[in-house]
Amino acid sequence: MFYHLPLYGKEVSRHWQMVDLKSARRATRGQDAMDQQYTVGIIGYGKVGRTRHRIVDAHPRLRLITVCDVSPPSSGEVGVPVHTQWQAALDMCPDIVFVCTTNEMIPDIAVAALDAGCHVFCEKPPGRTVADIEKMRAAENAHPHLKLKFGFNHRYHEAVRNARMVIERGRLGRLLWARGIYGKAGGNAYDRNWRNDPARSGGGILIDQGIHMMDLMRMYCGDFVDFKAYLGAMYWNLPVEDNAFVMMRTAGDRVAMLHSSATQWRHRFKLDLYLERGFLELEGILSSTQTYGRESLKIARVLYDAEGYPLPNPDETISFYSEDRSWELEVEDFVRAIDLDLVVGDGNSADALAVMQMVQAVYSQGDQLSPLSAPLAE
Amino acid sequence: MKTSIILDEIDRDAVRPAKEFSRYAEYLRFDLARLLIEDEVRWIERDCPGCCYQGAPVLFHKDGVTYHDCPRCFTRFVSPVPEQAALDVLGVRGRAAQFRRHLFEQRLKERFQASLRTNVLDWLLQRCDENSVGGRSYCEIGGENLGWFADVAENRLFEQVTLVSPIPTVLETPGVRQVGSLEQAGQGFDVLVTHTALDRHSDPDGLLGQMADHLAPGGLLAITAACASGLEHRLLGRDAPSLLPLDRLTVFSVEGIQTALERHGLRVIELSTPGRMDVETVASYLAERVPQETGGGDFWRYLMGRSDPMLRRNLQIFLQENLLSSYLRVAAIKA
Repeated sequence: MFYHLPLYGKEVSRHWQMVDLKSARRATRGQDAMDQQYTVGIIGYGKVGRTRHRIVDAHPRLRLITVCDVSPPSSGEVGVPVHTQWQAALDMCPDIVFVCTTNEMIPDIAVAALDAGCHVFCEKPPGRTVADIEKMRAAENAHPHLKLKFGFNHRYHEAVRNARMVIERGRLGRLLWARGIYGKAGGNAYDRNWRNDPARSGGGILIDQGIHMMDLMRMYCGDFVDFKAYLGAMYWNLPVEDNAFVMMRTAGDRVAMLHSSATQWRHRFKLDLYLERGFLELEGILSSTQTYGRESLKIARVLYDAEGYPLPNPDETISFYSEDRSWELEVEDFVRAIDLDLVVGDGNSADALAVMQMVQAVYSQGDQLSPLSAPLAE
Repeated sequence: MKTSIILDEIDRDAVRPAKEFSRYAEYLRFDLARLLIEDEVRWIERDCPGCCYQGAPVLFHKDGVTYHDCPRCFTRFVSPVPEQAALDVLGVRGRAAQFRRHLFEQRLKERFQASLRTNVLDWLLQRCDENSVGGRSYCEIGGENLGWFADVAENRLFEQVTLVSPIPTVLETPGVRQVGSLEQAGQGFDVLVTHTALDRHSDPDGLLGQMADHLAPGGLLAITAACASGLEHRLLGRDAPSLLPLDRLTVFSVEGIQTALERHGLRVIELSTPGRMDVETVASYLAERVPQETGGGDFWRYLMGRSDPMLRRNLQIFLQENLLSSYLRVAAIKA
């Protein structure tokens, strides 16, 4: 048994130097911008809109000036003027608009907000179709000084970031394959939820929750070019899928397998990433419901026998994470992009387009499983 | 903040071989006895090194010194302690220290390499990666376990590598600098590491303050130490086999070390107790006798008496996950 010391090398030091230089450059350029205050409007004040409100309140340089929802809270409750028409919220000219509405409303509001001169932060999914995100990208391109970002907050979870760092540093070699499960038990009145009305949502569990896992798989593996899938309403009486089984391949022949489910009676988030010289396993994700288990990242490095063959079952280190800062970190990143006029990093419109193309490819190419009534009759 | 656990097949006898360990304990007692009878050595009363609590009650006496247990942060510590100058002399010329170095360098090196060094080195590099810690300067304090230090130096993980130790070493790696004290080491280190040096220091709080001062802003402080929150110490108390006074003048609890680090302006990013030997140590102890400091000895003897290896393994994992193992690993960033 021996230890792979050549994994550590000069490359590491060089990378660190680059990071330092970049930070220093940005620090000088953005000093003035860092003092600027931004006014905020939140359109859509459901669960996610309320979470955004909390994040905005906690940010020293963001100030909420308006909220909009079709079932509005009272002004007294939120402390700012409340509207039922989103155009009225835009009329208050906030610097930043958070679009937290149902999927079908996202494109029109995002485009109008950009046209009104607002920076826009949209929740996922980025609309219902590829056409929706393309429309938003066109508006973004027409206003190059404005920022558009989408809420793929899973990228900002600490375990996810740490795994990305390990992969990018290359200490465990090249990524070979990924295997992910993301599922929930539907929930109360799941079959009546707007998320399962295709006219409003664009699809079922895949576009609602599985899209996060697809986004992460693309982030780790690169762009996928080939898709095979089975989709179906296996349990719930829905016009959209409650389970999606997807296999995807990159041009470099990395393969990712995803199971997105609304019949995962015990909520589960699990993503295995296997590399040439070790593996990473993400399990559990911190969430508001706390039902996906403790967020953890397992890291193992393969050891080799005297002839250089990998020994099975290597030692593992598991890190558990205690706080979910993903929401505030992604907003912080967004504010920083505005401050310094940087290209939006994670969750930019290119990411959003790519993941919507993946979803659309699965929806158009996947095989439909028999509807609920057929298997029960067997 | 995160907590890490380690799942491996570490062999207690490999890390702490009974015969050598027993001899080492004897040497430590011998060195301590010399300090106790030496008229010139000053003994200093102190408050809790974790939370600065004054007047922590006496817990027990061992080998001629007195252990206190902090009722606020649960840190265990010897008071009065010998002055640091006397401990420094022992660290170079003491019988135990010489034997320990001999053991690390000659007998355990290969076995350590397989079981411990990989974990420690991976840990350091991952924490650096995750926090974008600069890769210029690395400083290790009291680096007796030359294996770790040599890995860092020989693989050129950092541009400058400094070892703070009064002990003459045999390490001859180009670009490595050795100094006798932290004052001589300079300022602004990206990474500062200490393995168990805090446990042996008469003023660990002062040493932590010094280390914080010598870190660059955004720099990483990585500490390994014994942990008073762990099963071995909580259950066996005075009889804990690893509680050898000169090696464990302070045994921080998880609460104590966190409080101390924050007091010095350091933000704790990881607090873990990835020890893998509590269960085996306790089982081995209970096979011979019932602990005196606990009324629950019968349950533990029953539990440890069960020969299911998975039970012991799962129990140790439980201890790690819940910060209840007797070995502590902390990483903190200077604001």
